[in-house]
Amino acid sequence: MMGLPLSKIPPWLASPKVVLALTTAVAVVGALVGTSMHHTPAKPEYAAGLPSDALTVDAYDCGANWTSAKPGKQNLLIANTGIQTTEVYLVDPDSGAIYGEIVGLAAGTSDQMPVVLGAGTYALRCWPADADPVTGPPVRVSASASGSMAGATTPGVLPVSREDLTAPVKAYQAYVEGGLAQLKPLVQKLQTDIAAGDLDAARTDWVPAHQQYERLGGAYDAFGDLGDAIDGLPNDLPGGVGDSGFGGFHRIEYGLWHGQSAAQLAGPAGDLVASVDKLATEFPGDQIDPLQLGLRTHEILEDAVRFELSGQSDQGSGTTLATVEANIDGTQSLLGILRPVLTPRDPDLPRIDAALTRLRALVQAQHHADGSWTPLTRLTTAQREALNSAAGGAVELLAPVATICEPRLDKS
Amino acid sequence: MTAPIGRRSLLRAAGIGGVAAAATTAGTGLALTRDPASAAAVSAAAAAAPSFHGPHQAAVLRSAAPATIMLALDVTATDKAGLTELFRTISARAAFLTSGGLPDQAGVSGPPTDSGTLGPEVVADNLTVTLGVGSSLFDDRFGLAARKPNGLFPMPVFPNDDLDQAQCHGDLSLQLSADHSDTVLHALRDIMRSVRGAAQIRWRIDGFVSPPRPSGTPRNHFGFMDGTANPDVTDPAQMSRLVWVDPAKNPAWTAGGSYLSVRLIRMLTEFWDRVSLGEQENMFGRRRGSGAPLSGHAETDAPDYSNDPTGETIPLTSHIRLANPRSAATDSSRILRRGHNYDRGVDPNGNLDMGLIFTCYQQDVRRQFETVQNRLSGEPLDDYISPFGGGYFLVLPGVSSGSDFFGSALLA
Repeated sequence: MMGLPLSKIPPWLASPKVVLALTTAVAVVGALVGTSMHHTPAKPEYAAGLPSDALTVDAYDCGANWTSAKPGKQNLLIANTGIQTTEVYLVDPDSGAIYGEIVGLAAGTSDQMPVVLGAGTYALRCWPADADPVTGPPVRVSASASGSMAGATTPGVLPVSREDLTAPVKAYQAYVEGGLAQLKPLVQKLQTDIAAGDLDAARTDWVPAHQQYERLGGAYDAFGDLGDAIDGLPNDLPGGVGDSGFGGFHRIEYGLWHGQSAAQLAGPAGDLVASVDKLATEFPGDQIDPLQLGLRTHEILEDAVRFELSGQSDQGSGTTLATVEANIDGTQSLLGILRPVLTPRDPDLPRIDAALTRLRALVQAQHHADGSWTPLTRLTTAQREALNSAAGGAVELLAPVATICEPRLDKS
Repeated sequence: MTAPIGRRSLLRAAGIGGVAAAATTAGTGLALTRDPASAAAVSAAAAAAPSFHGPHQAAVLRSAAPATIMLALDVTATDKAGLTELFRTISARAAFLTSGGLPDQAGVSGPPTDSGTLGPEVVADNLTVTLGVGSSLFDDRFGLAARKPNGLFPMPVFPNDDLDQAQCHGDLSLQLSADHSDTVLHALRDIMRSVRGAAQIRWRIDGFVSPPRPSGTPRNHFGFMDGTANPDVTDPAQMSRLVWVDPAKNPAWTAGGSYLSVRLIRMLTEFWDRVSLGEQENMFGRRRGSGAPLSGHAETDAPDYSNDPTGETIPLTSHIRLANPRSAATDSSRILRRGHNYDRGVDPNGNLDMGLIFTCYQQDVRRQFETVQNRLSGEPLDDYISPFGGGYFLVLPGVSSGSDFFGSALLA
């Protein structure tokens, strides 16, 4: 609707000089534009406060007044003099790589885009709501900065489209569906053990069943209420471990390692089987936002750092490190699914792989020949520091995956 | 397990916002007058903002800053290359943080590089970043065993100590000091984030220096001025004799460094407040109000021991008399104190956990700190204090330039 072809704009208005001059009296321009030019509503009055030295953007101008730039650290001040909210990107006009973004710059507002410019060609690219993208003139930066302006040049990242993520989303769906199919017999076995009163077998079978769930990337509410029913902790329940709302893997763990009877655990075991069945039935119908893929790849291990390596989630089994191993499995599976998207975009991918390998080795060193795991509380200070440090290093490197894999310049 | 709601928008909110980064001149805030003899010189140095680069680390000769964080780190990097990378990273972050300016920008390649807690532009705020090495760094992990100075060894247990090993020792000491708490906390997050995966915090304690009340040297939690009789930091000969490592007795790589003793000392304030003023003053050897020695009128008066051989005026067991007898024989045991008060909540009995982060620089720990400590052994003040942590470190030589890094001579 908006976005008149450039040719229809009167030459006096298309001149960057004039646009810049007019921003100082933008309320007047707003009235002009609104009534006589485009038959659109007048600009809101708050547009009058826009800074006069800003790069200006609107539906058909995207930083036309940006004609030269110094190298190094700086804040590009960008004002939306149009009447529509717009996304503003700083791009390499040749490759399309993105250096910076201002999401949803509302009409009549301004914001800073902090960036470190290096030698190269830059342009602003705007995407107003309900209009096509507009790219401003290319601005060449030569030489490099010195003194306090010097810094590491902001890296450009090729935008990810929703289409780029279609195949990964399908692969993720298949991964979770396949994983749930494997989980079902494991929780059924656990239920059978408990029904038969064989709690030794239940303690043995609890670990691989829980691990299988932890592989699926259910971190940070990914599976909603069912996720809580399956793997919730008692921490936010008024009655704690004795709360009637405490169910799932950790409820059974608590009972198995605190001398509860098979009869006390029969109910929770049945509920767990039912919840897993329900998730397996419902999950294939769920829409997965492509944005979630990058987030989950990062947050499975964030969840492990917060709830596992802190010792918080352990309800007596001392198998925290088995859970962390499963979380590494899940992270690496998602990373594998996103690899085609990440390879051209994240130069740290080899470091991520190395960090996960290192973490896995430290975890597996605590998995013993008889199948048991060293409880966190039995680790030496040095062992625990090494684990926490390796996990911290991994999540630090995984955080950009979420940022990089967020779809940009794509409203499909 | 928290919901992922709004994560993206939160990140954005953190990354954007704020107006042009106005260059902020750090107010020096408190008058730093801990060393009355050299107050003017030190204030002048502070006003000029200490350069991070130089033959010595900047904090050693500066008065204790209003806000500090003392950390012991254990290195989790597993080889010499990893340790070198760690030292290079700390050096680079320290060079930036101590001079301030616009942070680097990740653009869309990752989360914001800076926490934003100091606003869009990092203020220097007289920040110092002081790195030391503990004797445990010289084990077989990094091939440094042959380079360990003889004067670097683990802090022993002294009479009256109640050491918690979790709050003792460490591969590295890292002290962040500045005029304000937000600056040191910002630096802490910045540095720890940048070294994630290579080092882990072993223990941490935060401290502060109170403003002079009403003037002179700031007071400790017992109400007494603490740090009155320090060596003169403006006298290079004294510093060569008392503070900087002796090149004749240490490996060449230590040149420009200084030995650091850290003692975390709980002060039993409830008990102390039940002691009469006269007894308090006899324990210290000074007037509580004025800070004057019991033989004088003003804080800066030298205590007169020669006319008081039996301790009728200043008891022989008083803290100042034992710590510094002011004799030719004991002059070489003087230390450069850089203490901070700490305050961290309550103990399980409901008593206040307050005390002193005692730190001192010296040329030789045995000749100086330990000699003083042994003279103090059994002093009446012992009943009101409980040392529980700390360690011995060698504060590394300064970083000479932007191409140099901490420990470059050690790792060469």
